Amino acid sequence: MNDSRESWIAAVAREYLAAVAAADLLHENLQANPNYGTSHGWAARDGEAFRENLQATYIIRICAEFEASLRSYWLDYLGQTTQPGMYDLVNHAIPNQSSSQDVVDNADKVRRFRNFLVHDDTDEYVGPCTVQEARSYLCRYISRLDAAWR
Amino acid sequence: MLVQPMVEADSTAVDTDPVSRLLQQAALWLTPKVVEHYDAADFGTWPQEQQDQLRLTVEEFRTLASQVPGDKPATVEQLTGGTTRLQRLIEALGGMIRAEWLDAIHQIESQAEGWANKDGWRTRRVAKKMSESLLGKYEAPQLLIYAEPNLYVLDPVARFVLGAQGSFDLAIQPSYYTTSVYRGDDGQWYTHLDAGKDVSGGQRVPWNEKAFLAGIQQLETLV
Repeated sequence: MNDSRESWIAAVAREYLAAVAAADLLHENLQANPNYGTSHGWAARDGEAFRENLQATYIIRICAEFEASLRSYWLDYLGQTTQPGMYDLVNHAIPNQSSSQDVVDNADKVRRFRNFLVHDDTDEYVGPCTVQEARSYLCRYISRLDAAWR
Repeated sequence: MLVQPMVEADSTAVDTDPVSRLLQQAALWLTPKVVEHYDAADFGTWPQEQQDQLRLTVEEFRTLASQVPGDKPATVEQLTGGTTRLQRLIEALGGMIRAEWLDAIHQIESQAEGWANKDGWRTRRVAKKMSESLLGKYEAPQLLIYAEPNLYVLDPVARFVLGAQGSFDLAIQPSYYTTSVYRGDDGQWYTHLDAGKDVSGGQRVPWNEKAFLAGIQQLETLV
């Protein structure tokens, strides 16, 4: 499973945990020395923004891996030639009777939350979603796709 | 049903947001059609109190939904009231659907167990914790089949799946190669044969002993 598509998403989720630890260290440094970043071209408020936006940044990255995986499945594995939007890919084009409705709904929840983050579209807000939830929901979705592709 | 409809277009030049918003405000599920097939006689075996409660909720939903004009969005009060009653209906019917699904699981696994035992393969059932938003948490058995030297699992996936009325994975261990056993909208059970490593393809055949044995044999060739 080390090279599986799920592992790509899981790797980004682990990277997020490392980034959270790094952001905490940075926060401590900034409290001790607010000019810590000045010599590198950034100010204390940039460091705090980095910390605050970390979760959103990594959810967007996880979604990018997910989208790349689904497009590969659709084009390279299923041999399709069309370019459906992510809504259609996630909800209709790819899943079959092997996918439970809950698995599809949860993956779509992450897709919508990502759209809320990227486009600031409140119509897409479906409640909070953590990086670990996104990892879990999207990996579970991918785990229902054909083993030969994964 | 309560998921908000979305609109996508092939071209980025088309602004789909206004259409999406219109559809979302339309509350397409808030219509008497949702309960038009309700027949109190179908629930005659339920305790009287539950029958009365269900009938009342259906009547309330029907009355409320029929007040929503076809050419205007539902009011906030109509949406709230409709959502509450629809949730009540889902809760009431969930128990019945879960019981039927568990019965179907036992039937399919008993068939497979009988066919496996005829070939001298040992079988065992282990409890699997399952959770579906419309059915809640429940336990269902997985059937392990020791067809020496291979181990197979007939694994219930979910009652609510896309394009079917419940499905199982039939998988050979420890690989992830799987074929699907599922109940079509006609109520009949089917499986996919000649799927190779691609569960999406293959040929749909009725679920019977011959199909079960063919599935087992075909999965073995993949490992």
